[in-house]
Amino acid sequence: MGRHVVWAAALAAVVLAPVPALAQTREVTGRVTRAVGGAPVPEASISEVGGRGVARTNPDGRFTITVGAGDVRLQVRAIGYRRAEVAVAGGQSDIAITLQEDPFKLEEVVTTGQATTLEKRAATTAVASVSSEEIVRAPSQAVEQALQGKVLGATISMNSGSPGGGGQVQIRGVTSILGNGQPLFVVDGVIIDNSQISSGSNTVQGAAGRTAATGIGSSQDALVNRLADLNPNEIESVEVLKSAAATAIYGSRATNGVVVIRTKRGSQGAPRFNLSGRVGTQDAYRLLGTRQFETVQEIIDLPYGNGADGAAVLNQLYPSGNIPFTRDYLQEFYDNRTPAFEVNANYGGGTASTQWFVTATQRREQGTAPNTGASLSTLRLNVDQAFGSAWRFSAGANITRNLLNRGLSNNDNTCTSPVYCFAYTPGAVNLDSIAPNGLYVRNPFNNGGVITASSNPFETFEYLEYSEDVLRPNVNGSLDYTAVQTAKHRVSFRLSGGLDNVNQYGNIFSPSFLQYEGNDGFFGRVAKTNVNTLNYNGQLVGTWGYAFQPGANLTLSGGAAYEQQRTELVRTRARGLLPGAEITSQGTQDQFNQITEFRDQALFANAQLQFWQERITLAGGVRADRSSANGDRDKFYVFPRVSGSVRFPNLGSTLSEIKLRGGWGNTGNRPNYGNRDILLAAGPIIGGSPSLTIPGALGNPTIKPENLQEIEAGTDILFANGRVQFEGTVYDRTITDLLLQPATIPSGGITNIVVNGGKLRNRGVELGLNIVPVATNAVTWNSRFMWQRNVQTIDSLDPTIPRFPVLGSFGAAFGRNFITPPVDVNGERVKPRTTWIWGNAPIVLDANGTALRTLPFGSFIVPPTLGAGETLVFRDTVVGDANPDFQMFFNNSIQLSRFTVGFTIDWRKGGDVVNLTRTLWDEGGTSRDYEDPVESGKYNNRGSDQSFDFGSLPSGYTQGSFRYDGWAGGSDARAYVEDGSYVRFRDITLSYDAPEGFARKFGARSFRVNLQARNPFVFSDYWSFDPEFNNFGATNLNRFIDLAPFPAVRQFFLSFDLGF
Amino acid sequence: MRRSFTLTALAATVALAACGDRLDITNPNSPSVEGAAANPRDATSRQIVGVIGTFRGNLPGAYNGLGSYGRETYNMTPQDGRSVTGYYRDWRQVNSFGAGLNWGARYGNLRNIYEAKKLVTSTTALTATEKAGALGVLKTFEAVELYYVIISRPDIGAVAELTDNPNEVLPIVGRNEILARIVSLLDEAFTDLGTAGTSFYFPVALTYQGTAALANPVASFSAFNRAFKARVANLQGSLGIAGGYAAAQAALAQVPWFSTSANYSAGVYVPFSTAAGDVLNGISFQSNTNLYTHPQIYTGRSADLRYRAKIADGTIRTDCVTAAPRTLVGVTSDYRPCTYPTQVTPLPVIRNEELALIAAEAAGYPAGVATLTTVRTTSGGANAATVFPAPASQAQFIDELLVQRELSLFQEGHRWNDYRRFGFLARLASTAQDVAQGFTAASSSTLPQQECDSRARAGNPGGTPMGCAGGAAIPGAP
Repeated sequence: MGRHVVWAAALAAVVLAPVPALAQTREVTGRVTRAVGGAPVPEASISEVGGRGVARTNPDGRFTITVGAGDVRLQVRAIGYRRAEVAVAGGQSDIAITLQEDPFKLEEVVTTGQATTLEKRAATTAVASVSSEEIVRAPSQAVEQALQGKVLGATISMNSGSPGGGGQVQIRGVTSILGNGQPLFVVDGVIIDNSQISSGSNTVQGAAGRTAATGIGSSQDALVNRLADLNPNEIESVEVLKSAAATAIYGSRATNGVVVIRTKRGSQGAPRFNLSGRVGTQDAYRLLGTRQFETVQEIIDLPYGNGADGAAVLNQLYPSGNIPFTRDYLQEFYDNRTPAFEVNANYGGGTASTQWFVTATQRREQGTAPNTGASLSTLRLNVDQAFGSAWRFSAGANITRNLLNRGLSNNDNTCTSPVYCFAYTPGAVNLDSIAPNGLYVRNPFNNGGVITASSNPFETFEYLEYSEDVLRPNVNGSLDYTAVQTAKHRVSFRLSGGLDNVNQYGNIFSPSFLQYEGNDGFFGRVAKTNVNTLNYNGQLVGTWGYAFQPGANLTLSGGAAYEQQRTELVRTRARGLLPGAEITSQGTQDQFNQITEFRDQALFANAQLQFWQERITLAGGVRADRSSANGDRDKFYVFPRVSGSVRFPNLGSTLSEIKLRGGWGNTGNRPNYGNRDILLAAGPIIGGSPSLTIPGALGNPTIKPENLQEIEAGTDILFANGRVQFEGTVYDRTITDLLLQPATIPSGGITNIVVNGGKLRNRGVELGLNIVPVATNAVTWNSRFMWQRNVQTIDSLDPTIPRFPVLGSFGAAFGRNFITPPVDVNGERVKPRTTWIWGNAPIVLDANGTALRTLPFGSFIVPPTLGAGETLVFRDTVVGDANPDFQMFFNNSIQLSRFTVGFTIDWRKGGDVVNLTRTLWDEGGTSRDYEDPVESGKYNNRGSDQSFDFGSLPSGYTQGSFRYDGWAGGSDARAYVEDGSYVRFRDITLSYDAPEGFARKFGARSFRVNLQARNPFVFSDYWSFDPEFNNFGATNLNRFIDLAPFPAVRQFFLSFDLGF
Repeated sequence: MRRSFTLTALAATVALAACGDRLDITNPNSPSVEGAAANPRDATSRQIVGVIGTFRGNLPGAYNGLGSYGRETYNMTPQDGRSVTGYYRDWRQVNSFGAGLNWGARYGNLRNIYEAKKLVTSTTALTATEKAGALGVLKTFEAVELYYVIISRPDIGAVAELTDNPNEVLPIVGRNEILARIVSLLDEAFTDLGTAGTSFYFPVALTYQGTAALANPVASFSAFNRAFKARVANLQGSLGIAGGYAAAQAALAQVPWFSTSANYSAGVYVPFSTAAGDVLNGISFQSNTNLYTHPQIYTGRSADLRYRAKIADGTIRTDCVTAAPRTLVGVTSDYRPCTYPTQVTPLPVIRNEELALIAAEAAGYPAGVATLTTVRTTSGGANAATVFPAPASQAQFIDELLVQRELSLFQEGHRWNDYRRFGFLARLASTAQDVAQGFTAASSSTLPQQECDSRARAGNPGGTPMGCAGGAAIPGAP
């Protein structure tokens, strides 16, 4: 990399181009109006082509610009309009300009190479873009949340309602089983870190084993992916590259798609200052409710309500034996209504040669649980500077501090995750109260009272300290040099790059007096997590543009890139803390230290050809990558791509324009860190001696990247005078050389090996319909429907690879995704879907052990009559499919005079979820519908589509006991597999633009009031909080496990935007 | 323009050439094969520690699982009834919780032993005496690991010996063959230890309690080897394998701390500690709150001193109090076990009380009655539980032996094997509440699904193992 710096310096050193002398000038005034209706267009930017003059229109559409003395040309641009270029004759001093609307953003440019773009109109692949306006329509916990329901082809879900984010973006399905499954996020040219690393809450929760140093953190700790540090207010646009024909420019890191984010930059014109403030509140909704208990005996009879202390406490509290009302702990607990706020200020402007933009944001989001919240502070400065006509320098610097206090949630073994704990705690004791001894009331249930796994979450959240503090500096820069610029040729070079540094500091401190302390033999614990991630990338690109005919051009580019990512994680824990101590040197210590590092190099070349009046566009390229993660580090893996489009414009008023497009591309997904290394393992420490053992997984020195090939075809059609646009795309992607870690034969003594083997296939359809139903001076209505469906199959597995369950699940009792070769279903050989949920179900076998039939749910309660020689077993079988039948988004923006209404509706049809939350509440005997009757021998668990008729059911069964006993200790997973369909409003905003006169009272140019809501309404039959939540955070598969998450929240905000 | 492109190409080439070796980074997170090769003496020493540490790590789970199969305990993990049903009801299912007990984990350590033996044998960094010590310890543990594999599945058999290729599908051989291999490994190891001097060059992190701590580490370990040989030979004897009981008696004679009347706690233990990086006793009263005693153990025996020491019924052990009975999947237990009260209580691998019982068993009726009575009264006290205070036949003697073994050796991994080797599996399955839930007693812990799948994929060389799809059913007791 040192050499790169030298090159940069060398190129920068010759930046001494002369500044042209000022010529004679004159003033031109004018007015910009809308072509339809003639309304004035405010905030349009006017610049002299090839000159230095710039201006901006006032609310009446008027402007004054200083231009050169002779004939000049003015370029006019405004958001939502097509740009226009008009000639102004030497003697002309006043001009009227009309702008055509561009509701479908056809003039937006899309990324086609490392330094090349195309207008969206001519794009050869399907590209989804989201504007800043849509992103900040309502405040969001993280950028993913703002993108939900707005990106065609992407499935975006949040992992819980915990403050501070934590979500996942999947583009066109899962493309890897064990490799990285997240898209590449590129912000102003810098590939940013989006990893999720625990801050150590497992040391308290004990969801995974916590006896060893590696158990300080776990993947079940409600992890935050680092996209949460990105401030949505800084974003100008988000472009999602989906097709391999587009993403192949990122080579071996691009199978999951690329999200290209551009931040706001300054523009020519007088400096503008904008200030917006938001204040709002949050509300936990779709809480679970509780079973109503009437007598003490009912509670004592519960499996976990009969602890010695439980009965004693209850008899003392309720001497009559009757319980007048049952507390709803979730209602009491998730009740923090402290207002949330956000202040965002930006200041930007510039001249023809220098533009700058500064954004500062302070956001404080509250969690609905006590003492939880997230606070984001960011400052970004972007500068663009031209030196003469040949050199241009752009730079951006950003610093973010993201402080998260997310509380505990998800899986748990110490009764510290509230939704988990309350499942086993009947609402008969006021846990939010102080006992005479000055401590919180102890939870007497679940065998409370002795040192076991019981606890009081009210106490825990009052005294536990748990924070994740992130400080993240990030810089980027680019230097452009135009070596040749003639009417036909343009040759330019760009040196660009940047770095992203994440410093995550996690702290969890649990004082010794908390009820759960001591259950592992230690009282009081503290864990510190330090993560330092440094990612940087740099590239040099040369581009030759050749306009060989009017309406025909060729662009060739080529260059090299270098990327590096390094993360060091240090975790230290102390248990059995000395009294009053809160640091890790004051108890029995465990330490964990891990380094991961990737280094990648690439060479690339791209070509782009447009001809026939730019109606035909062809693009192609090739990238060769090598990486430190590959078995052969010297080998370049080559990723080619080709795509093209043909447009038939000006067809008429009904059918205005048709574009056909198609492409093929090949991308990769490099191996995980360490996959290539054959190592030994650090064995157990015994008697103070560290030891060596054979590792569970054996590395593979021939490991290579996964390979994705995709064919995409689509069409974009403009109807009705450009008021309706249809977009349709089909794709078929095949992923080979899958990175797998199959289990070996256990009697061989190792557990897994790492191999490339197996083939996945994703096929899908994406349909979009953009409509402008009304466009008048008074009313503008933009409407957008999107529909998507993706189906994924496992086409083959290498014969040496046995079927295996994907890691990160709770096994066959609750269902998991299975990677398996083609299977027989009803006598037919089918390619299994990766999204199938495999779980136990009762199956009848004949005397030879052949499966005859699967029995209905409840067969473990009402055993069926078996034929001669038949046996009943439970066995892994397909009990659901996590893949939705389809997902549909509906976006609207309606401007009515000074009022604007915008909203996003998201409809997911199908997609099963495993509701472990419900299992917990059934097992604790506290679920809200526990006592509901099971009607006439029928049981209906999963909405209306399935019901099982039993004839005669043993008496005494209720919904809760039937579900739980039917689950039979995990022998029938179907009990808790539920349909995850929903319809929901992702966001709603109502804005009012005050008249200019009113704004002036504040000394402001504009004044806007907004009422905003995030997730205000959800319609779903799903029993728990939200079917999109997932216990294991961002995972490629097994993304359907709902286990005691932080409850869903809806947020309402009132905001004021002032422009100066 | 050509110059511009030349410049770009040149820049790109220079940049990449300069960075070419930058991709060659090492993985610093784990010990490496190269690192071990650089200091084989240290590497073998740490490998042996790894073998003992891995053995120690597997032992609590093994005692727990064997205890479930043998109706010593229920593992009543709330939220998961499969921790009971996996051993009690669904033990034929290759994906049950009990499937593969003492299989993959044991072969994991056998792989450690295999690799360590290979390095010890091939390196020139060790003297002949040092090599003998290392091989003596490694072969002894190889035998111990194989013992746990085979007593968990005598009807299925086991893989006797590993090869270099961890993916190889190796033949499964029968119980008697495996026991013979165990005996021969122990004898080879004993011979090696005889030439190993008086100290090892590596630490042996076992604890020798009471009289089991001998003059030097090699002698202490040799005695462990002989004690274990006595156990295995005794098992062979009970299975009718010729010479088993005699060999057991001969081995006992080679254990200096063997006594039929005293020092019952003397023996070999694995330690646990709260020190950084160390592990805890996973089946102790303190750390495993889900372990409950089976009624077959606690019913009608409360006057026996062994019961009073090991059952947390709230009246005797004041350090172990079970708050309330627990019910899971339809079965109830009143008390938790308190055999190992704290999470640092060491677990016995083998101890003198067992040796005394082996002596009694190997002597048989009537010669062994006196020893059996000594153990009963010494360990169980005046009110010791009995079936026949004075057994009057070999059959009565065995019944009595089983009762004494189950109380003396509770939670040490024996009861299942004991009832099975004498043909009394059905007794394990007799408890009313178990019968009501359809629980039956397994004769073998089935192979894990992965083993079945891997073998099936290779065409099941040597036949489909018992319990795998298409193979014979594992016998059980109703």
